[in-house]
Amino acid sequence: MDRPVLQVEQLVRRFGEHTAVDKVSFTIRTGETYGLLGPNGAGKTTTISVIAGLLRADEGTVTLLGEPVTPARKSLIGLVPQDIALYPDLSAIENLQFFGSLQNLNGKALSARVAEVLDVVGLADRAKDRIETYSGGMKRRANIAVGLLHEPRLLILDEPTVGVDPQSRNSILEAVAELGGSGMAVLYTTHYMEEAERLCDRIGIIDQGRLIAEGSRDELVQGLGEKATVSFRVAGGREDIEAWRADLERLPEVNAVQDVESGLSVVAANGPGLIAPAVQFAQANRLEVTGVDVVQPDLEAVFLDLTGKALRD
Amino acid sequence: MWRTTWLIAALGLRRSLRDRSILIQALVAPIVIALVVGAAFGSGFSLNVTIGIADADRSEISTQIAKGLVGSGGDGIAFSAVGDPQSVEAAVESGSYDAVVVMPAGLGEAVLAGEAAQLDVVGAATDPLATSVAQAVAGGVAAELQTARVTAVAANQAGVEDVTASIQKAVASPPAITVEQGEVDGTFSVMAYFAPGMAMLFLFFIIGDGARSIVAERKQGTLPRILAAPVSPTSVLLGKTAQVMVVGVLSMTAVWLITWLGFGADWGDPLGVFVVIVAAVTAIAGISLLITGFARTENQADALTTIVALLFAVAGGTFFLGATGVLNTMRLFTPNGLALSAFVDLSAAQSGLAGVMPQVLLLLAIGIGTATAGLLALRNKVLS
Repeated sequence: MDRPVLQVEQLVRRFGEHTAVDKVSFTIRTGETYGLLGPNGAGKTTTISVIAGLLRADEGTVTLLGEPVTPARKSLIGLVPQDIALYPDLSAIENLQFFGSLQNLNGKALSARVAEVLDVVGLADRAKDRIETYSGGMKRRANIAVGLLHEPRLLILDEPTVGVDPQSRNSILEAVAELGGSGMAVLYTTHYMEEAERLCDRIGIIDQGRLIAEGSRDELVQGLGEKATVSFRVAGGREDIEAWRADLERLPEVNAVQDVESGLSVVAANGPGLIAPAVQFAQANRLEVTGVDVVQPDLEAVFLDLTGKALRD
Repeated sequence: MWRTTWLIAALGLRRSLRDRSILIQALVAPIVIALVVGAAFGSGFSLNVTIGIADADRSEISTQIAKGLVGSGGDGIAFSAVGDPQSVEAAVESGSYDAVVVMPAGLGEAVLAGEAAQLDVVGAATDPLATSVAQAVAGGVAAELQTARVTAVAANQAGVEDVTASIQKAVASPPAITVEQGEVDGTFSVMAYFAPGMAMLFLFFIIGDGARSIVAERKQGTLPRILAAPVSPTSVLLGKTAQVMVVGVLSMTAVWLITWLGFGADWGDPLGVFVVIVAAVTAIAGISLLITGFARTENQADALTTIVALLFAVAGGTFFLGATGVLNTMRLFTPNGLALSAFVDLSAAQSGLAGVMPQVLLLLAIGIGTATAGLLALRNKVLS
């Protein structure tokens, strides 16, 4: 098997007393799209900042194609930051030419690459317009174009669809899927479960700086075993719902309970077997159960099972 | 490294030149304000300078020159004999005279021997304007003596009269000394003082913006993106420094050329003016980098820049001419005052580059020292 494009081993990064990244390890191979899935503040951006050489690791190692990330080897990485890291008063072409020059591209080669990536992200017809005149989605696409410019071996995308309209989001996801298919290794951070499920060959679930699970989507869901998520809708007061919740959490087969609109969602080992006792507890707490759904296991359920909280928290 | 330094500097320059607010601050504002202030002073502005005349020679010629000068003057320039030529410096320091023209021992003999007349000037570093006037007086006397000697020799050869008598006669009346007040009291000439002063005030804001752009770009995300490329932090800082230096020199040079060629304000020896501009911009850039490096936030840096710019402008004499006392002393502790004293030397006294080297070296020292401290702080703060 060929050596991994990226290998992260026991990575630790602290800010004062706070450990933002705590012994994180994972690898990404050529053509693989790896998702770091976790809520805001989980340590995703810190992890990729260390990988990209923007922050120093306190412990652990990061290797690219088997060697440490030196300044010269940074050109193997294409970074697409979460914020729009472009000069708003310059056009897309000017931004791309500047960042391309920093990657040692120049002359005709640079012009050709600029034209190619503008085409890839669908901005060729607005290339000469200033970034500040773009819509949010167009800015996101231009942001991605800079990361692609020098044909990196590893493309890091940090939450590239945050604040983007559905149409642009879809366009971005399609572009990322194509890049993964073209042989580029992709590290994709997100807190959107659907994006991770749609794009990523393997997913690392990160919470509070620790990588708590890793595998393909199916492997992670299978890890739930017989567990299932049951969603209850009820009519009643908030205090009664809280009392009901406390009753449910005392059941040994219940792994996690979270609030949902007009009720609670429960991950339980016996899945549908939970429905009868849950309804009884609801009635005992003066609640009327108006609906019950047994949800197919997904990454949301995996995250809830592992952390006891919803991904969006 | 130099390639990326250049790329970063070039990008910053391109963005600066497109920024209309920078063009207004760099060119329009200093020139318009200098015009307005110049017009306000207009021909109503006059000097108030007392020049001492010290006669250490005691020859017939020097005595005649002293007599001619003392009691003459006018338009704010008064001449007064210095009682003890040995205590000239003390007299200037005590404020009895703003500057003193000294006729050294041997002057009369030297003139009669056909040598060039050499008069000395003692002035206070805190009052470059008075010193400049005294230098102009000394230069005028020397030129007058030279002319008189040539004329006297010719008259003597023609058998008209002896040389000494002829020279004494020539200097008996107040010599036709041209004290170039026109250099400082006309509207457009006053501009040669106020235009660089105003340009330096606005340079603090322009250069401050450039220095703060390092912090702003970090917040904006473009700096991390640059550093994610094979670019060293040193290249980024050097590129940004080069950018602010070039913008500063370009803007001040433009103010100089426009006021000179467009409004007739003579700033003096072009080489000297350009070197002083570079030195002043270096000092202002260094101070701006220091403020940016040590301020906790971009807003704090902005506020500090404004305070420092206005303090230095007021203390440096940007808003008034002919300051005295504490204000006059304070000037030389500010980059603005140092640069303005150099500009006055160049324009009023027509000094050359050599004459303003002390101010140039001080400005460069301030600039290099503060820039070094500021860049080290920025490197730790922004790039960690």
